[in-house]
Amino acid sequence: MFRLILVALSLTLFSGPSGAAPVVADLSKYVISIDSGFTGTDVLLYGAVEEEGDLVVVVRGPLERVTVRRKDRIAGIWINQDEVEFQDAPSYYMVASSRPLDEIAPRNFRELHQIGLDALRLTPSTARPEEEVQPFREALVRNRRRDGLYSDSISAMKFLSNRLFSTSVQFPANVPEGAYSAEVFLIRDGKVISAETTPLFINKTGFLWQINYYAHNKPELYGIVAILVALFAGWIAAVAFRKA
Amino acid sequence: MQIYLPIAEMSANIFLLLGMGGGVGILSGIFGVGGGFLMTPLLIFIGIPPAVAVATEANQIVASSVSGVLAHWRRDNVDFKMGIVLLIGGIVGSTFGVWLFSILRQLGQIDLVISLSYVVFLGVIGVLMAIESVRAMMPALRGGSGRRRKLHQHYWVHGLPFKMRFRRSKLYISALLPLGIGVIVGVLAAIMGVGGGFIMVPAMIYLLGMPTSVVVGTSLFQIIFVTANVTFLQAVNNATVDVLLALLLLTGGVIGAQVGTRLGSRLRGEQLRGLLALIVLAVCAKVLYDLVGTPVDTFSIGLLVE
Repeated sequence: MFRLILVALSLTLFSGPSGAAPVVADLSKYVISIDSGFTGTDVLLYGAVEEEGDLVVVVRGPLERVTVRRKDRIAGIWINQDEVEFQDAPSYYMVASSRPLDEIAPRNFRELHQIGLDALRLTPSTARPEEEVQPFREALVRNRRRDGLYSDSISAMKFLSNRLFSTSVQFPANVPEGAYSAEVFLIRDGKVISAETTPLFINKTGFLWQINYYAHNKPELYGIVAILVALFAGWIAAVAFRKA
Repeated sequence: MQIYLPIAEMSANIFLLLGMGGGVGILSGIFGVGGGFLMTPLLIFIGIPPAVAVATEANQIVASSVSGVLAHWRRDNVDFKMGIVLLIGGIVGSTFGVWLFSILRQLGQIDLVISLSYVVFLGVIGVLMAIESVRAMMPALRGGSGRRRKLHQHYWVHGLPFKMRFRRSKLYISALLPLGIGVIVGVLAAIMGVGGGFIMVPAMIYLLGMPTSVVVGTSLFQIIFVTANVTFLQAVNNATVDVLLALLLLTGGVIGAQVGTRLGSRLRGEQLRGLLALIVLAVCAKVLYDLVGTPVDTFSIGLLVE
């Protein structure tokens, strides 16, 4: 019953005049496994649009709490001084669009939907004057962009015809685990005509997953095993090279 | 070939890691040093988070000390009683060190403290070694035999209470002294990711007056347990021990150490010592440069540790 209402709602909200969804999109894979050979990966996001409008693709990673610190030079040495903690920074954020974002929609609209690196909702954990927080917010985006975790581009969106589009979503080797979402917005006259969300999961697998699981959930056992492995390896080395 | 390190959460070249383990292993084989004081800064240079580098290196040192101590044990070069007194101090010091490490990490100052400790210790040791090797080379040129050391020297140290007899070292000294050395070395082991042999060995020779034959074996014996304690506490408090990284480093390390031991017996000691002094000073200069030079970005991101 609940599901029916949802379907009905989404139809009334997003359906175009033809009745078919104005935009459909999909990913080339839904699960990314981080295994021992992982060096980053690309996922293809592709789809079709039925109506006129601007396309915006947003891929977002799980939110996390981060601390941004500023170094100041004290007695010749760079030392972390001031810091601001943000409680809701996306661990990954990528936006691609068919036109520059500020031409597609005004800032307040983009802030509502968090479209664009300048429109991210980054809330400090403790209240501070906005002019003090702003440099830290910019620094967060700048650092993440340098690490390849945040990106925005207008050239990344390719149109194969008027209707078919695709964009490549790049995940670097340091991409965090978690539940991601890929959203495609069709925007016209400053309004969302249609939107589609596809989930994407990034997980460590196999051996790496186990190491990580035990390190964080059974740290005592992990520590003891790490010591035993080292003791054993040292003993093996001593025995092996005595004979040689 | 790249390999993904699960705790460092980054991808690194497997041959680079094996090569670093091998290279530092060769040096430690030639000079009989643990190598932690070179490996930890090298790991930081290639981008391993300093907290992970320190904790993982402690884990690797457990392995290299075990293979080292077995050889000394066979030759009866371990003073177990002295080792245990040093160890009691070491456990206290390293436990305190890991506690301090966690607090500094939460304050966002751990990277600074690690770097500063390295600048100070590498600087002091590099300079001392350089002086020593130059001095050693001078009489070698003149053909003279250099200085002589007295068998027993008496100074304020011998007035301390709680005297104990250490048969293997032929010493009757206050237990407070090895305890204190153990504590200091333990703190360094926790914060710098080293075994601390480079501090302990000179302290044992010059402060305690132990015979040189038992010094290395006894310090290795102590280092095994102190670094094991650090590994355990870092794993529990900070989850910063990367076993995969440790395994790669120690694989290169044990092979390198064997090569180094063989090389060392064929090369001339003084020049080698001078070379090691230069390497230590170069690493020191790089760490110092990273502290003083203007960073790429004066802002940095730290994930919250709960």
